[in-house]
Amino acid sequence: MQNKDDIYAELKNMLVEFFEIDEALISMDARLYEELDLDSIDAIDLVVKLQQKIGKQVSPEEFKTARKVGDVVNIVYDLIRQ
Amino acid sequence: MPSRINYYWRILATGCCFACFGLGGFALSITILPLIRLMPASAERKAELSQYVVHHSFRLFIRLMCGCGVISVTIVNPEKLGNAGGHLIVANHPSLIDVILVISMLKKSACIVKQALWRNPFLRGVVSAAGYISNTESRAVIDESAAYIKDGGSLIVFPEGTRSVSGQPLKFQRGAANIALLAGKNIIPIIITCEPPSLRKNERWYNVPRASRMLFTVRVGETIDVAAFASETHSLAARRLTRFLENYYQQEIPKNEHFNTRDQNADYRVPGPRGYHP
Repeated sequence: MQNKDDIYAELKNMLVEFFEIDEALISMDARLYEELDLDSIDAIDLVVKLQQKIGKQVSPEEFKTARKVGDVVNIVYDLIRQ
Repeated sequence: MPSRINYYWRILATGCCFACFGLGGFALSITILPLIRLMPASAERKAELSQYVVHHSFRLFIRLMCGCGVISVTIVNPEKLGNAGGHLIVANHPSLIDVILVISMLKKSACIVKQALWRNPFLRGVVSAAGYISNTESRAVIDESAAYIKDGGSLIVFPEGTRSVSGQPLKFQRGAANIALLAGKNIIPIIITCEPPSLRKNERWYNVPRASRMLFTVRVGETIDVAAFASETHSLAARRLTRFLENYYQQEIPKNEHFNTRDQNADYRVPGPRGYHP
């Protein structure tokens, strides 16, 4: 996972596999809570899954600011580059 | 009674019953409930006593509605509830009085009810004394609810979040499943039907059915073991359990028909330990 496209592809896989979200709904602009029907408990699960994947701590506070799939991609991208 | 007169009687009686409900709620919140609050007991014990008072008041209200000829209620398999301690009680939500029906069956239970009730002058005192939980959309509600049943309480949740929309498939929110999974406690389902349908979402209290009184059937189903839904992530388990519950209710709701006595004089019928069978 080096660039944003890879991160997006991986995130999409996670959303489909662990949250049973319809793949067709997922895009960079899809809103996590409204369009993809995630809830606060899902957000915690997603943070855990992302941490396992990238091997770095994802701050829950920062994650809370994410509204769209693209926001999550950016957060992960910044973490990897650090 | 000729049917036309009976119809107008039922409108009048329904209004009177709901007026009694509001005034009764207010009366409780300025008499018994404050006395309980002053008692030298733990907060849990006080909430429990208040729940007991609310249970009996609601029972009285249901009997009043039955007695006035507005509704009939048939309870099926009440023994499956036991004392329901340490369980999540889940019910579908066809009508305005579902929560009253369910609480009238449980001596000790809390309930997740809409936030607006804390601003309702008649019921504010009741919901806060009985320790009911407000349905705000937050993680705290899930945690608080899970802790409640983990401690042995029984909690009533309507997973639809609001009354059913007639003619549309049931849509459950994941909150109920999340609570049961987080607490690791099983679910007791209650299946409620009302025939003819009335007091639905967007209906006014005076839209009583023309044909007859409302015949409620309230049936307790087999306990649902939530351990069977354990999955790799909590989110996945919650989705699977929610989908299971939706399917369960789609299948079970039509079956209530078999238990509907169509007996206009049935009043409040709590059948024997084996349940009522036609």
